[in-house]
Amino acid sequence: MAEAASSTIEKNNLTLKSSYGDEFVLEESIAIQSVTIKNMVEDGCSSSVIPLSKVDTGTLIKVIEYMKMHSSTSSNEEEIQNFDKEFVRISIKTILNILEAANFLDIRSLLDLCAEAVANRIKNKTPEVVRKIFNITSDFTPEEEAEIRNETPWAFEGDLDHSLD
Amino acid sequence: MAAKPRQKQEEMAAATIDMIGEDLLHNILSKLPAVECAAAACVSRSWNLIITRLLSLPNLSSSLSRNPNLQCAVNEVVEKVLARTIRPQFVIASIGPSFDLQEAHRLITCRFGSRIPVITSISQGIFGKDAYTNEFEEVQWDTFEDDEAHEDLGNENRGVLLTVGFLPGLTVDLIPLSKTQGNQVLMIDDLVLSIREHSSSHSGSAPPMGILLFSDEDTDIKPVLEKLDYAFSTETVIVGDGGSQFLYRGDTAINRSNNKASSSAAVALLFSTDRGKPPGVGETQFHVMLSTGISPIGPAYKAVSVRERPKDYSTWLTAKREAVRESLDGQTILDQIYDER
Repeated sequence: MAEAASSTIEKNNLTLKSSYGDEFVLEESIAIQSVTIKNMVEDGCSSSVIPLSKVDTGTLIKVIEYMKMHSSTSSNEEEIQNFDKEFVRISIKTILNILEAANFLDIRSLLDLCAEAVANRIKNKTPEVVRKIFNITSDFTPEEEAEIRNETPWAFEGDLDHSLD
Repeated sequence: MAAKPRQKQEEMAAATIDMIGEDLLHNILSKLPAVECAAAACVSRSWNLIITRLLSLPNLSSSLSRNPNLQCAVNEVVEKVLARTIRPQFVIASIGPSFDLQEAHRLITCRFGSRIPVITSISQGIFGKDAYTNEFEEVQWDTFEDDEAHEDLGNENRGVLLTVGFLPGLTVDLIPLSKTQGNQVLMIDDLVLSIREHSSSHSGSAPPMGILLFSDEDTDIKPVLEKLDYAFSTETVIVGDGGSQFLYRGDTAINRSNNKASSSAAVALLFSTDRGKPPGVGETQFHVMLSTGISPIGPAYKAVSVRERPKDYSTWLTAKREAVRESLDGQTILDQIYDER
């Protein structure tokens, strides 16, 4: 009993386990940026390893990197902003993975960062390019698409970006 | 250990957005500005559905610029209003008297699709959020009868306020009030008829929701208002700006004068309920409020007593201001207002 009491004063560590079975040890104070993990800790079901069956190893590494940076007291506002900017300079596929993980783990700021990053990749793109980026096949008939375009012609009058990145 | 299969997966990565749920896609698309929103609506049916849902709330986006260069001012406000998730249905611009109305109208209309009604007018003043500083600003132009003094004060009288609106479930029409060619009689009956026709084609027997009128300096708007007031039920909200110069562009105007800016005695922006609106789109209502424009977001004054003094034909007003205990008389209210500016 005495031991258990003293360990709560020390920094508590949590172990997160990815869908591939890789384990990562993380300070509780950092991990509870995830509301999902926080709830688990509060409910007392975090005694051992927390399995994250929906998050693969690569994604979990990125998420932990993000949480560490955002809980660090030594970094200032500007450093965090720069970190965020660099953080999303990755393939759109990876961002989507992190987005899903952030949604599952309920980390609001990371979710917003990723959603914003994906939105930025779509900015100024034609619908054709957006389809290519996301591998979507249009299920509109040409007539239907023409009609939709007609509703908002101003959106197609400017200089649109036809490149894929 | 598991790193290899993951890398493999990523190599074949044309990212599929289908793997993320609709909620997440909704979240991503909600961060798109107006132009991308419209492009995203063309991507696929599911994307179109999400955009339609995102745009199902009425939205007014407005921005002000005091940039003395007309082109820059227009760019600033257009970019700002379109930075939000909005699908503009109509555009109203108010500019300072030192800007060229024709040129301003041309610059603004070319930024919006040819089917969107645009009204550009020279106003007596503007207030709104500055596109650049995000600060609330209020500008009242110095208006001079004689043009030379006007030019001296050039920079003071420059500025643009742009408002674009999207009101799902309503359709917006632009209807001009014309004059007969010879003796300049206002064709008010034509205006009323035209409003009726447009309104009933969209909403059947329901009265128009709102009419926004812009009239020029030479037009006596009173008889027009009287006729409109008489012609439409009290449910129809009618407001307007008289005595300003204006230009407009809309569907009807294009057909008639080949896309050139037209000028008439007055022009009405008509809002009517769309019978064919998709289910789930809410109702929009108009409310009319009088504002001095001086403290658009500040504390409200409430009149305590109004007394007329027949002796010297003056009116005595006392009022209470929110969060201030004592009653204030007219002069104190004015002093306070001027202090704040």
